[in-house]
Amino acid sequence: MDSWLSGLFVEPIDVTGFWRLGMLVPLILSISIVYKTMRCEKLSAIPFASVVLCLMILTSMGLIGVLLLGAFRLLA
Amino acid sequence: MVKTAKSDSHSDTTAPSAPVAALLAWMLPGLGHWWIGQRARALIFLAVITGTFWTGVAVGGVRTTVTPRENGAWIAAQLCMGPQALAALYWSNQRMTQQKNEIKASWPASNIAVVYAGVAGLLNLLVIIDVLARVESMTAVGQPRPPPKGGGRA
Repeated sequence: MDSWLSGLFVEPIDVTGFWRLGMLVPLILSISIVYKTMRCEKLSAIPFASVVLCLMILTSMGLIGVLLLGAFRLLA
Repeated sequence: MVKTAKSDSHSDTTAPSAPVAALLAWMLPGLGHWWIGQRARALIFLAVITGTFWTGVAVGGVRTTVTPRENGAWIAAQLCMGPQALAALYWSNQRMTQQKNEIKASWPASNIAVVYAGVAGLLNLLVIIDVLARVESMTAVGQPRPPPKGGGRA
């Protein structure tokens, strides 16, 4: 168990394929939860508000990515 | 900006000290909120921020993720995590001296790991600022509001 834990934080994990972008989701969810935990007065409102903020950020980033890809293809 | 909960443990007696709250928040994410009585928020901060930091270390390995030589300004962000980041830095330095030919994380895992750990530190910085704001609002409770600038309505 100890060696597994020690190896977990020592040996790097290969991030390939879908997970190159997929790793963005937990990071944005963390940011959303921390932000909404600070802002929401009622604790029960935090989960829904966090998910909504997370989806908004992901959608915005996706749209910006599509726009940049379009601009790149037009200019190329 | 931030409203104080009614269940604050310090609101009935003396107001908590801002530097102590900030130091506690730096030492462990959420500890400052726990100290001022916001215990549920404290647990959320602890779980999310600590989880994000160690997820980064797990993805890239401690030597790739927490290293001042290669990651430049990111290490400053990571150190906002407090003793956890210092422990990871010490561990990373130890491995660097003991096992010089250790396999390092390749792209993009290395970048993802550094960003995860750095963002966790920056989130803890936000939490420190939040606890300072809450302490300030607790100390201001009961004091009369200053008049608006310009004297209000003419």
